[in-house]
Amino acid sequence: MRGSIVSEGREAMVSLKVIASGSDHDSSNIQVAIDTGFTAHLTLPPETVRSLSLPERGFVEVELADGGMATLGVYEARVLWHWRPLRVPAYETDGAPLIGMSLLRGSILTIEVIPRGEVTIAEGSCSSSPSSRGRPR
Amino acid sequence: MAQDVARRGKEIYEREIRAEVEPEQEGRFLVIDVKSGSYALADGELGAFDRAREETPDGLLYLVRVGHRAAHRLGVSAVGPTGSRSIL
Repeated sequence: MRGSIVSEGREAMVSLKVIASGSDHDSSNIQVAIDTGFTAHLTLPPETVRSLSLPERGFVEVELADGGMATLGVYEARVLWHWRPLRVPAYETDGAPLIGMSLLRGSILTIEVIPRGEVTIAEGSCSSSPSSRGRPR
Repeated sequence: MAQDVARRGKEIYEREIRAEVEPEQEGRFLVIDVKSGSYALADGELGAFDRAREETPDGLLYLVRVGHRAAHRLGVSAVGPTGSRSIL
């Protein structure tokens, strides 16, 4: 997976394919910013959640950088990650979509932090999908 | 509605669940049905939602991470030397 630094925003951006609910043929390629201060998987704006008919799972509270809390809707998304579909929770937020450290877990992230520098996310040797693991209660 | 679900979820967690799961289940994800008060645990978020949905298909679900103030952080913050929070 490759992307680049958008120099004006000073953000590391990559393209992520999000697959619509119930259809492998309907998907959307969205530009997402990499946010290492975000500990969950993915945020998506309301219009993407609606257009892909992502199923709602519930609600969650996240702690913001100023110590405040925000309550967000949680949706189930399928994304193409290292060439394979992966089921992940997506948090609904206004603004630009983000990918966070839970999705990056097990990957090797390289960012060349210069204008139009290259961003790569490679599969690590111990890549895992935390959301699909589980153990009996 | 979202804030109401969060408020009810936190109340149920504090009143009925915390003592049962802390500290043994620290770091795992727990989904509460705020209608019935039932809950489900799993290592992953969607796993916890799946289990909760199996038990209460019409539930109104709220996700917490055991032992954490919030399930996740959106933005890095730190406590500075004066004790005030500052954004890194």
